[in-house]
Amino acid sequence: MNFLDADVPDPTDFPPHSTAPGLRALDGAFRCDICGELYDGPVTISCGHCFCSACIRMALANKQECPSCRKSAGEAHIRPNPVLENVISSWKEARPFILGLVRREMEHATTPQATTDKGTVRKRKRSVENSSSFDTLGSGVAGPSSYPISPSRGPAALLKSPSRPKKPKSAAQEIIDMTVPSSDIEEDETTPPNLAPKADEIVACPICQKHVRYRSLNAHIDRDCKDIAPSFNTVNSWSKIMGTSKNGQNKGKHKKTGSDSDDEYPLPISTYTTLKDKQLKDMLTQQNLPVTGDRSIWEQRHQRWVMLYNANLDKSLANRKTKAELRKDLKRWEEERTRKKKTAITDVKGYQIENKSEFNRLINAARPKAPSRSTIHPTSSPPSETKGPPLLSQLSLTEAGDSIV
Amino acid sequence: MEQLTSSLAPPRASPKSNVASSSQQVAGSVAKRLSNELMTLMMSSSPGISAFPKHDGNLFEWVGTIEGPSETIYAGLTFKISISFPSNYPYVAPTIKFDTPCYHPNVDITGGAICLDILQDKWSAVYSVQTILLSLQSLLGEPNNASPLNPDAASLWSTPTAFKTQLMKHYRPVSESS
Ligand SMILES: [Zn+2]
Ligand SMILES: [Zn+2]
Ligand SMILES: [Zn+2]
Repeated sequence: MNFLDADVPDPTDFPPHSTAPGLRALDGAFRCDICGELYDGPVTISCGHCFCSACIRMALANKQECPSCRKSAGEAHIRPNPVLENVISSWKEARPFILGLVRREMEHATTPQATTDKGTVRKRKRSVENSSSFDTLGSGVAGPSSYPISPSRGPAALLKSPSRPKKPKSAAQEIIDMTVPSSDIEEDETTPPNLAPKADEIVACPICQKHVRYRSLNAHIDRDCKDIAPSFNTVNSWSKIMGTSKNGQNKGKHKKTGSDSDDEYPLPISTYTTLKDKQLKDMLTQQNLPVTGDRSIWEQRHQRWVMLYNANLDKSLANRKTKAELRKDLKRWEEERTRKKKTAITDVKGYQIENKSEFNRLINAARPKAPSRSTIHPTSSPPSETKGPPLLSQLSLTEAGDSIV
Repeated sequence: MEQLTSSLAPPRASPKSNVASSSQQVAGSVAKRLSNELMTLMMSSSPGISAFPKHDGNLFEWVGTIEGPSETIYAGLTFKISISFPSNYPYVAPTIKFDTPCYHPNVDITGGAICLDILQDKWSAVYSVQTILLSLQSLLGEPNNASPLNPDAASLWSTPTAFKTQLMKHYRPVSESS
């Protein structure tokens, strides 16, 4: 069964703190507490906790509170975390490489004549650490901390800041062009024209580096760099979402692969109970989704679609999936849910034999690492309100393994 | 009306970042999360608790064991529990019940149902099987006598000898073969 065959990369792939300080904790820190995976489209909610966008959207659909701290939260509080997203992309590349290095060093360390070598390696590492921390200290003086940004300052002042990071040059640049009330435009026009860019000029936001039309920059900064598409509460705007574009709205949009991916608005969350069957079917058809199954399947399908779709928009463009890929994800999700109802395996004996060896393999793999484990996976750490139980005689993995046979 | 046409972050420096994410599977996959949990349970030496998928191959049905905490009336006793995961786990709590009869103020002696807030309204998607088992283990020694599922057990709690008698009368040791 794939459940047991699955290779499960988790923080315990790294040696404990005593052997490789910080690595296991680092890998744990890059993981979402809901799914246990490396963050996929990380977002932050108002309390500051981070989750995959899809994970927190699912959680908030069930309960309007932060799963970690229980502070009240809603969809409106979701903010993309592009910095963490970048970190995760790099970590995904670095992880296998670092694991390889660690493994090599461990092998090296276990050969008896290498004991002294290990000492030298450690020492060398430490000295590298020291020198690099001095470097950081030095460069830190001229770093971001000396670059105070007050959101109350006007965009002209911000743009003149000498330490403004360079605007990235890329063909894939996007432009934020928020709807600006006319009063805002007038206000902008009062700034000296020779110092400030023209209202329609594209500038990089000095805070988040997004590309924004200059006249939209104040509004953008006032929103804490979070640009929310206008809410859709009219029939008219609903039809806009559905891709029946009017008034040349697609002008200047970033084109994704696939003909249907020209719409970058989040989809509104529907209340399905008030919808007629026909309306619901139309909604599915408009999203290019199948209308197979019964009413409850339609609702779940549409709800999950909206969630996947909106979560995808929380990712940076480079990491976004196409609508076709999202539909595939939706299909797999549905298949998993239906499979759940018929997972009972007919060949029980064969399954037992197969899985006995699989369990034993997993247990053997776990055994050498388990006693030295010093950190707890964040997903599995008991919640704060759980009192730690008194220590018992330790249940050995062998006993646990035997009990399932 | 003009509209937001941007991504929410600047373009990536490295086009390679696409490669890492394209192989990533659907977020929120229950099977993935459950195999993660199994791995965590096996890798962490949590004293006195264990859980594995049942023999029938349904990965949504697990069996677990909890040892009674030492220095409590349950010390030395092992309880078998069954864990049934809903298809929308972990957004909804799994259904947990004692298979071994457990005489306890917050456990139904016949059906094995458990009254514990984190399994009902206080459930959170960041909780796990390990969280639940540890909570149940501490519940054994520290019942909530204010809202008992077994009123007899709640009233006997203050008289340990009488409680122990009732406990042992209902208890059946976990057999390895079952
Ligand atoms: Zn997640
Ligand atoms: Zn929180
Ligand atoms: Zn910004």
